[in-house]
Amino acid sequence: MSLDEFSFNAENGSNRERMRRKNYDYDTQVFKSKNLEVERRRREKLSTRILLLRSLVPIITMQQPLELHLMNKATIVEDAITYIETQQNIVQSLSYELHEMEATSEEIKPKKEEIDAAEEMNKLGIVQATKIDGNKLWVKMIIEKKRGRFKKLMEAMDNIGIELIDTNVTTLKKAYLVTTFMQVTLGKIGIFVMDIVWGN
Amino acid sequence: MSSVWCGPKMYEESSCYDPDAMMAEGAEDCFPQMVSESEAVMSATPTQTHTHNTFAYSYSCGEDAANANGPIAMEHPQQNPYNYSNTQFVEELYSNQQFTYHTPTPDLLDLLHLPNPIPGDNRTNVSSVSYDPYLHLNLQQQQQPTLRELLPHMPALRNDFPFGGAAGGDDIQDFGNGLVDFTQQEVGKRRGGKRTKQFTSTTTERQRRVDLSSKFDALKELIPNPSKSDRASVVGDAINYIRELKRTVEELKLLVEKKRLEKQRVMMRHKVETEGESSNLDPAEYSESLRSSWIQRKTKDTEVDVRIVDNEVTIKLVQRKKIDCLVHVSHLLDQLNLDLQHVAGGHIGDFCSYLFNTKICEGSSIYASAIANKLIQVMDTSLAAASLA
Repeated sequence: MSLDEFSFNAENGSNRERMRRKNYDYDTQVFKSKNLEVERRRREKLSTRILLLRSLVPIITMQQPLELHLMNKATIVEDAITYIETQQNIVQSLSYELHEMEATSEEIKPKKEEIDAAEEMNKLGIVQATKIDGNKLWVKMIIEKKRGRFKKLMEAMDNIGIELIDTNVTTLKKAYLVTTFMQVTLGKIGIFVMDIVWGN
Repeated sequence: MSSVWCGPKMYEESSCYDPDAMMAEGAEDCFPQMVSESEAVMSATPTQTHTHNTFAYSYSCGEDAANANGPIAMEHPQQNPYNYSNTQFVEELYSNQQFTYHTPTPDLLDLLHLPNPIPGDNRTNVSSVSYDPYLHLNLQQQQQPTLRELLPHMPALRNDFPFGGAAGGDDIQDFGNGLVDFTQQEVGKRRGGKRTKQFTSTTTERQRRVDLSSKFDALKELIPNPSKSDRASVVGDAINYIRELKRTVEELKLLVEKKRLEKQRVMMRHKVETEGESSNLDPAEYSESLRSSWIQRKTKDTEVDVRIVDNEVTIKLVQRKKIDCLVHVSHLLDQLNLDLQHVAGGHIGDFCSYLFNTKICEGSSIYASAIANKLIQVMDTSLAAASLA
């Protein structure tokens, strides 16, 4: 309704312009058509989206007379709000149910994880490093695939202060192939990196 | 004999003689038969009888009046002087008839012939009288067919009239139907015309505008990541969010169902282990529907796109600020029980862009919106920390 009123005011404005400038009909016509077209497009856009919203929301609040309230903007928006809140509640309840069921299944199936540091160090694979520029390094590593290994590697890199410019990780059966283009800010690049990796 | 009688009748009918001519022809028919009978008795040969029959036909075919009068004159003198001979002729007729009916036993025929002379005479009179009734009957029969021919026509005409009547009835019915339909249409139009819209407004225009504006604001608050604040954008974002919510609800329902089935399966396993039966494990298997879901999230500095197909998750992460996000993401993946399979990406200008391929660990029930929400949270937290530093 407010948009309609706005367009009405616009038309009044255009009428005033026409009254004032009798000698410039061409300019007045151009101004009028441009403004009207813009407003028309805006109203059409909003109306189209309101219709789409109405089609998505299954809730329809009906009041008498029917044909008036069925397409009322206020009613459509209100129904959409109600529906969104309902769906959000459903999502929350389902999530809660999932978490409860997961906890129960975890109790049924306890997973045992045994970590042996010595074995891990022994299983650590090949590390190749190639110096490219002043403080830039291209590193290729083959690591045994194990849960948490990649995370530890990343944490180590971050702690040292190495910036990974470009990284690529591929999994082959039970091994990680890590190729990284990194930038190092400390001396003794190769040895330092090797010590850190082995130490990890 | 009967065939001989029928033949001339047919000729008479076809020729269409006058009544007097017909009577004369009837007399001719009597005379040739008597002549043929006498000759048959004398000669006793079938061939000669046939020839006489043909002769009789020729007489009947004649069209001259003089020929017609001739046989009549001949008949009268024969009958008048020879009364005795007439009786003999009649007896011969009977004998011939009996002979034709009972040819294998001539002796019996003679015996039958002997005791019947007196009643034979009476019969002959009766037969002579009966000839005329036959003729009259023939004439009547000839006339009756014409009446019968006329009678069938009458029913046909009568049948036509009922058809006409029925047609008239149909016309009347059609007219009635037309009237009824027309009246119904008129009634419908009138009812439609009577409908009038009644609008009653209890609130002012200003109040209505205020209410509408407040409703749009409420809708805007519900949307997690609003893009703009104008009404068209708010409605567009609401549309996208509603679709996202529907997908999430479907995904969660699927996960809950799968988890329930898995729980039942575990219980079955426990029962089987306790009972010591291992054959029940195979039937316990069940078929699952393939899972598919996707979600997108955008904030000021971070954009996340999560896609899940069955138990594989693809995560695309784009961040505006240049921070080391691999550490945070790898940490989060461990938390969410996602097994890392492939990583590709790096720094491009001031952006960080990464693509992760992971697998969901068995027993985990993570879903797309949870992954996306947690990623956004972690990224925003790290950004805040970096900005503070």
